[in-house]
Formats: sequence, C-alpha cells, structure tokens
Amino acid sequence: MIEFFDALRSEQIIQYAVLAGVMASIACGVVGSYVVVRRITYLAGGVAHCTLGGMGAAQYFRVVYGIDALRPLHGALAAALFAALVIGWVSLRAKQREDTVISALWAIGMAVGVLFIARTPGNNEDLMSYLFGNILLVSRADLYVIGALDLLVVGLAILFYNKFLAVCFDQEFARLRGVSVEFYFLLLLCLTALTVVVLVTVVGLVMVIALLTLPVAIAGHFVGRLWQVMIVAALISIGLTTGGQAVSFGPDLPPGAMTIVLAGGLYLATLVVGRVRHSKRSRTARAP
Amino acid sequence: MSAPPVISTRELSFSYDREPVLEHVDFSIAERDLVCMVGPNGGGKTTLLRLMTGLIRPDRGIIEVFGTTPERSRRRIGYMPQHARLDPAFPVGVFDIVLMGRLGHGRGFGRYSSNDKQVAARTLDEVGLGDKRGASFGALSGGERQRVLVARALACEPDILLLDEPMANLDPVIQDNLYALFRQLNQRLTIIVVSHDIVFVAETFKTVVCVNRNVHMHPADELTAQRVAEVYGRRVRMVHHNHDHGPGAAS
Repeated sequence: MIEFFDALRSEQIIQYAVLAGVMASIACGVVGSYVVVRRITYLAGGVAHCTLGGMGAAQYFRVVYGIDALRPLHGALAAALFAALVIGWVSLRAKQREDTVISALWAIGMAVGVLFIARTPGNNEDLMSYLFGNILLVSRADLYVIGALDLLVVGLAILFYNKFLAVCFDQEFARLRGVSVEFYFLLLLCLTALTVVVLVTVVGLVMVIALLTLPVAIAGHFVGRLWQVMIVAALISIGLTTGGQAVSFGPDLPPGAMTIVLAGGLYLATLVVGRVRHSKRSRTARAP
Repeated sequence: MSAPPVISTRELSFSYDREPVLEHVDFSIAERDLVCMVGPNGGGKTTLLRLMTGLIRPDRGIIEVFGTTPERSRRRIGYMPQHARLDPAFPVGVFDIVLMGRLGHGRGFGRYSSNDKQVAARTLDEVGLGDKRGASFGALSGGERQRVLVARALACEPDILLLDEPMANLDPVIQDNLYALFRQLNQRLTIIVVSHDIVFVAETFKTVVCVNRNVHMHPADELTAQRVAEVYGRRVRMVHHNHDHGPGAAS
C-alpha cells in the first residue's frame, strides 16, 4: 500500500491510471444509476461485450495496414455505439425473445473480435487486456479521450435528468406527456456505450457490468433520490478503482480484477450490515 | 343539439395475440360525466382505458377523444396507471413524481418552472398528501402511492381524468375523501374511474360502464344487481355504499 502511494507521487504511469479510474468512476456512477433503475444491465452487458469486435478490428487494421492513428479505444467507441443502437432497436421492436436476440448479438460481437485478434500478427496479449483491462497501459492520448467522453456523458445525463427520470420511472406516462420515449431510451443506451468504453480500459469488458451496477446497488442502501445515488455511487466507484490499484500494486495482481473483488465484497458487507441493522430495529420495535 | 361527446367509439375491437378483449364496442361519454368502469378481471377495462390514451391502437373501429385521435388529445388527458406496475424500490421522491405531470408543458430539457412546482404542490394537497412532499416513493403505503399517482395525473391540468383502480387497497375514510375530490373536480372535468370491485358509490358516479368484451352503459341510479349479474354472467354481490346508512347497517 505504502509503495503504491510512493509510486503515485513519482510514477506518471500510476498517476495516469488513477486519473483514468477517477474519471471512469464519475461516468460509471451517473450512467450506472440510470442503467440499474431502468433495469437494462443485460443490454449494457451486450454492449460491453460487443466492444471486443471493435477493438479487435482496430488493432488488426493498425498492425496489418500500418494505420498508427487507429487505436483499440477508437474501435471500441465505434463498436459500442453501433451495438447500443442495434440492441436498443431490437429491444424496442422485439415483442418476444428479446433476450435471445441480445445474447446472440453479445456473442457475435465477441466472436468477430476473436477472429480479428487471431489474424493480427504478434502475440495475443492484447486479448487479455481487452477482456480484463490493463489500466497501466493508459496513455496521455487515452486520458484525453476518456476525459472528453466523461464530460459528454455526465453533461448529457445531467442536462436531461428530469426526462430520464420520468422515462425510467414510468415510460408510458412520460410518453403521454409528449416525451419521446424511444429517443431517450436510445440516448441512454448510447451514453451507456460511451461509459462502457471508458470502463473497458479500467476493468476490461468482462467486468464492466460489475462496476456499472455494484456501486449503484451499494449507494441505493443509503440514499433515496436518483441524483443522490449517482453522487454516492460515483464516490464509491472512485474509492473502489483507486483502492483496487493500491491493493494490487504490492503483490503485482491485476488491478481490474482486484477492483471488482473489492466491489463485490463491499456489496456483500452492506447487505449483511443492512440485514443486522434491520433485525435489530425490528427487535427494538417489538420490545415493550 | 347536445354538446359533442368527449370520448366516442365506433365498432371498436382489440385483441392480444388473436385473443379478443373488446369486440364491437360502441359508446360515448359526455362532457363532465363522472364514469365508473366496472367488469370482471380480463374483461377489458384497462385495455379500454389504454385505448383512450392512445398507448395502444384498436385493431378495428374508431376511438375519438375530443373529436380527434387519442394521440392528438394526449395533452388534455390525465392518466393514472395501476401503481403495481411501478417499481416501489425506485429511488425517487413524491414531489418529483408529481412534477412529472408537468412534463411536456413546453420547457426545454424538461426543467420545471416555479409555476410547475406550485401546481404540483397544490395537487399533492388536493389528494391529502401535502405533508408527504419530501418522502420517498418506496416509503409510502400502497394507498398513498396511488394517491401520489392521482396527484401526478391532476398536475397535468387535464380536461379528462382516466384513473385505473385508484380505490384499490384504500381504507374507507380515504376512499370517501377521494370520492369527494372527484365530485369537486367533476365540476370542471370529465372523470373515468376503473374499478375492480363492483363496489361503487351511487351518489358519486353519474354513469356506470360495464365492460366485459363489450360495453353497456347505465345511469348510475338505474343500475340493479340483476343487470350487473347479466354482464358478469353470474350472480354477484353488489354493495350500494350509501352514506345514509346508519351505524351497523349491512353493506
């Protein structure tokens, strides 16, 4: 732990990693709250896994055709937005078997990525970092992209707060008030896609869903308004990503995985504490 | 010549997956009527109410609200869905929900004006929940949640109120308060209330609409238990909730 804070003072890599984690956490808390209350974590999971197709393709064209400007992050961005619109469209149109179609898109997106990675010369360590994240590989250019996405996502999510709240709480009523429910649903999925891209660099696409949902679930135990959940979830998220890096630094463990284990542990702890407090309260209530 | 009806249907039919719910429905509701829609479960009450909002479209036939399509009249409709459809764990405050009735009143990005907040506070007072303004939705009882949704429908400042089972799970005192509110609101707007029970207050409602795949209308004071039984296809217990009963009167 102490080594981590020493390194944080001196090593630029660590500073970039922590900064990326903090920025990702803000988008994560805000958009994750919408995703959880609208109950579209499964759709978000589909979008997250489809990014592998984009990252694989971008890396392939970068290496094989020597397009150096193309980075996996750009591929992830394009794939996530495309997947969000397709999955959103399926969700709006499909009356039945929505989950079947989304599962298929989920797997196809990954399969495309695996094929591109297999045909990309060089070693396949990239695959591991896409799947499980490698926050220590964050470059200055990545930070700019992450920062811009963060501003865009948080800005739009706050600007349309009332409409998102109404659409998430009661879609039919919002429609009757003249709110374009389909538009806000697709916009929310696009914001989710952008958040996923930011998170993929931090924890990798497999674990995105945990970071999108667990801090919100924890925050939901303590506060009762959506905007409060957003703030608390973002703060918890910042603590988890930074804590994950700090704990994993000494023993040289993957920080993304450590972050998720911490998140899961904290979630279980709040459940247990909540249970105990609840039973204590009902016992005092029963006492004469 | 009488005023044009607020809602009218011609040969209206609707089915879910080829299972007919409503068939050849013809009726019209006059301005400032106070209507109770009754009928058995699955008889099509909620479906008929949703057709009036335009949330679903008829398979055949025509439904008009204020002389045009329900979609065009949406802004004039205040709608209250069944509260069980909503997530009680949703992190949202009572006042935020009532304010949702003010959406679509023309402000960019959905910001609420001070007028919107005044209207929301007033309607919350009207349903008797002025003191619950700062509460969370999840902390309310089922009956309180229903009244919040009635307040939200009123906050639309509608010309017609469509309420899906606002009386379910309410204790009798609060039911009476709501009935009194409906009578008062009825001076300026048309109200249609869906009721799952056939318990209704003859002195409150002017018209009773029996919905069971097709629709029969009756002036509330002419409706007999026998007539209701015909619509339901079986004998039913009907309760005339009459305030003239003394204490201990059978109901």
